[in-house]
Amino acid sequence: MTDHQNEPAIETTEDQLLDHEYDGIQEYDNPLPLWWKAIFWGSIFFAPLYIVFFHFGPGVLPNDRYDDVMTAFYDKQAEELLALGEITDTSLDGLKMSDSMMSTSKKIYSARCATCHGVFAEGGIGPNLCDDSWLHGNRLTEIYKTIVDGVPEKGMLAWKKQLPPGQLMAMAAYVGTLQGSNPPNPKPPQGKQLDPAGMVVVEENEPGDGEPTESSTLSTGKDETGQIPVMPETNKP
Amino acid sequence: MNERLEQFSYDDAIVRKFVFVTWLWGLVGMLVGIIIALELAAPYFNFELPWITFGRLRPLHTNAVIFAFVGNAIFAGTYYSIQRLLKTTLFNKTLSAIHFWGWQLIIVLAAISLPMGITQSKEYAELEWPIDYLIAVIWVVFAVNVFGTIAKRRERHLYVAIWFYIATIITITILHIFNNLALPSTLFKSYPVYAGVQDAFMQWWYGHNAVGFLLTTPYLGLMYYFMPKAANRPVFSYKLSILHFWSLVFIYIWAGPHHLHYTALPEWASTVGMLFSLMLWMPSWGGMLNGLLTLRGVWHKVAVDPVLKFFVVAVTFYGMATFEGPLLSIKAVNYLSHYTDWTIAHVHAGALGWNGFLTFGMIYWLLPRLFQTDLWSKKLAEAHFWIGTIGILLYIVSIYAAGLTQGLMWLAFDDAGYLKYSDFVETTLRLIPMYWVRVIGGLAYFAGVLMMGLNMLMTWKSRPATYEIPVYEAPPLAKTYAHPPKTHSPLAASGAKVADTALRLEHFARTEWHRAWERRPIKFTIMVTIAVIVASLFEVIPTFLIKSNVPTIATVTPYTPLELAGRDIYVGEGCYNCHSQMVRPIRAETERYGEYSKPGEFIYDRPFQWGSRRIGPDLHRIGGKYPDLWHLRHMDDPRSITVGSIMPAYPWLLTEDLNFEGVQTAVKSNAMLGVPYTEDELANAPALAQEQARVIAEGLAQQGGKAGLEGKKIIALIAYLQRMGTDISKTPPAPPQAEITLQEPAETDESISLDAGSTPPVEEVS
Repeated sequence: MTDHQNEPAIETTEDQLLDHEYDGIQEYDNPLPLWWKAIFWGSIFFAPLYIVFFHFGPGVLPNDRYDDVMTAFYDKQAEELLALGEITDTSLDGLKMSDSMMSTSKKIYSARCATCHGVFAEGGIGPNLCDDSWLHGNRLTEIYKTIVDGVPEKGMLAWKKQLPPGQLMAMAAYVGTLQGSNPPNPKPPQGKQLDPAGMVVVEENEPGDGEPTESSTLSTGKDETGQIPVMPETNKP
Repeated sequence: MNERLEQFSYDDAIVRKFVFVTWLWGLVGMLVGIIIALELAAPYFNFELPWITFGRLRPLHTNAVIFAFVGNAIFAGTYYSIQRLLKTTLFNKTLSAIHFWGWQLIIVLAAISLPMGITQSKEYAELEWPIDYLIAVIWVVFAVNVFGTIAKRRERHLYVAIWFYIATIITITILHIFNNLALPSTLFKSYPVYAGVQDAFMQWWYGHNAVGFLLTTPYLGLMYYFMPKAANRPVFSYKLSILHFWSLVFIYIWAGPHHLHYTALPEWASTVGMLFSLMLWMPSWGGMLNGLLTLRGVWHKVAVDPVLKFFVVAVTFYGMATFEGPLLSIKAVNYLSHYTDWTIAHVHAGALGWNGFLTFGMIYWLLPRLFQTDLWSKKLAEAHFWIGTIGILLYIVSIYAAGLTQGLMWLAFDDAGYLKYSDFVETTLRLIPMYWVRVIGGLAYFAGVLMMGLNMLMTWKSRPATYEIPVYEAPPLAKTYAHPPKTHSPLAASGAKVADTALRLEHFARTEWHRAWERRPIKFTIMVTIAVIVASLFEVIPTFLIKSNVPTIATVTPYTPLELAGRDIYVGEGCYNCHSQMVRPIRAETERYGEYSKPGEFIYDRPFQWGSRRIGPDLHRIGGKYPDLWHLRHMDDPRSITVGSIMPAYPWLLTEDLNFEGVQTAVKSNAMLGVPYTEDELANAPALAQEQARVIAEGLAQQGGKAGLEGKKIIALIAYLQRMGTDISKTPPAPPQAEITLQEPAETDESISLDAGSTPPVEEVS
């Protein structure tokens, strides 16, 4: 013990040296602080209470909580959809007039759509959106449906989970505004060439770009299910 | 009693060796840490070189720091202290040498194999099976050397530091063996005997307790020796040592499942993990109290002694990390923190603060004693302390901020009830400035270690021509031991009529019974073993036996040979280091990724790939989300698809050939582990894989991708990615033609049906 300054004050309190030492190391046998004991025993007694409350009582476990949250969300979404009224080509076309909606949609396009459809909608992994050839129809309600439900077998995401209903409608209208713009490096046309009313002008584009054939169907690596996705015929009025 | 004195001296040469490699590997491990920190801040630091990509180097960083830096420090400190605490030299010099060189060989093998992509992908247990065997052998050598030394001791009772060393040796042995049980497939590849949920459970039982028994208990042992020595003060409380030792050893084991909250792990396990983590708070803090309160009365020394400074900060970080651990284990907190950088900040507070600083303090205390000269520069040691502290603070403050930012952004919904940041990369870009601060913090910490190297070198240079080896004297342990008389029992003496139980309780509360254990090392070791094994079995047995933990899903089938090969590439590239495969039942996650993950989806996943951190998005529902061409371009150049992505590019996957013949071995190994492959797959795996690869490659070429990829690794990886997480959305197949299973009408839960086959009635365990 080299430290004579402080020792006397301490040694006279509760510190009691035990009679053993190891390589010069001695030990006191001080009692444990009360708060330490309280929290230690408290944490032990808390355990059965928690188990009873959550596993056998009114507590809500994560999976059930998830179900509750989802039910509430679907209810809210259904209300919103009802409030939007009927979705028609005309109602969607009207959205093009809203500058704020179109500028928001443009931003969303750049952030979310451009990776596949190109910065100028010229096409890339996904088809060109500026020309008059369409795989799934060019009427705004058809474009809206393609955006909402996606084309999972071809890699187009279903956006209904990612964007609010009103925004989905605005996106369809925005895609409509791209029609006829002449982007650089356009991807060759795919699908049917359609007139603005959605009527077929040319049935099929050059081979390899048109409707999916067996060989051009994107493989998910599991071909034993053997299902070739059937493309909906979208040209009926 | 002390009729005859024996002479002995201590072997410090082995300690000098271990101290040097502690520094050396610490330097390497931290350098790799800085490299991977740079790769996250700016992905071009991956240089498109396979062996230095983040996914391969991150395991090297964790392994180097845990097993090389901390591991060697444990060996150095243990070998130094047990000789003195037991008044004897080490058991066997040859064993010490085998231990030293064997451990360094393991580290070198790790440093070679991990960058090559040879990995089991289980965190902190990445090393492949041949190295695992070597680890087991060398660890046993260490154990024999320690227990042999205990057997030759001249001090009857074991000091608290040695209790912690014993707990370390026993528990690490058990953890290492049972987590690494795997079937070797080739020299460089094995498949674990566990799959999916059970593999995840075993891994985090291991992962959590590796932290407990490699980063915590041995370091508490070191603290109990070096801190009172350096402060020259008695330990605060022997009672506390006993209570916190046993509660720590027993409770720690249970807490592993807190790494798997909200996953497909059964909820009861998650609850057990959380509750035991809360109980672990005070036992952990017992160590902190005994450390800090030992310094009562010598705080003025802390101001002038760098060794004590390091110790004080180390113990403070220990206290902080062991408060935060229980906090993070609370399900509601984990909801926010899991998969974010919060966890990374937490472990670095522990590793840099507690392990690092305790090691540095210990080394600065040892240097003058080992080299028998004065420390070259106390000022430089002071400077090391300050730059190290600043480094830790920069590191953890920035990464805590990153973790909270990311966690909150992932969960944020806008007013309309949709994800506010539905593009994952938005949440990544927000973290980049903090990642740069981390790099600076890491560099500061690294600079401190360099300073220590210089101090070590200069101190070593002024060592004496030959080391003096002092000879000590002590009597041998007597064959018989006169047990001390039972001390006065106030309760019995009071004459009050009390129940026997009360007297027993009083006896338990007094610590004489433990004093008796301390002089019986075999009994002590057995008690520790029982504490650890019993606690483990309470969780392991239900996890493996209760069928309802993993309800079978009829549409989940084994991976095709090509997909299996792709999965092995995914494992080898270390994709799990950045991508989880576990969508939690949280709306913010199901909106972002898709349906939450079910336990039955992982039954063919060997090893499981749930991951622990989302540096990139979850991938469990990636299958079918994008076209093959998207994946091809994304793997070749991620930033051409996602602007701002920090993922490394993997161009070599487009040029390296897939070893189709090797696919057969992989299929056979998985079949041996119980994966139901067909006769065709067992006989013709390469041909089947080639056919599937051809279809995918043709599709890619038609979509405008590069042609001629059918023999390349990328095709297998795409096949795996497109398969992942898709099985539950398939329609159930027609009854199999070959075998007819009796399907009793069972409870159904959405697409999940309980396979009632041959299993006993299902018990619901909560």
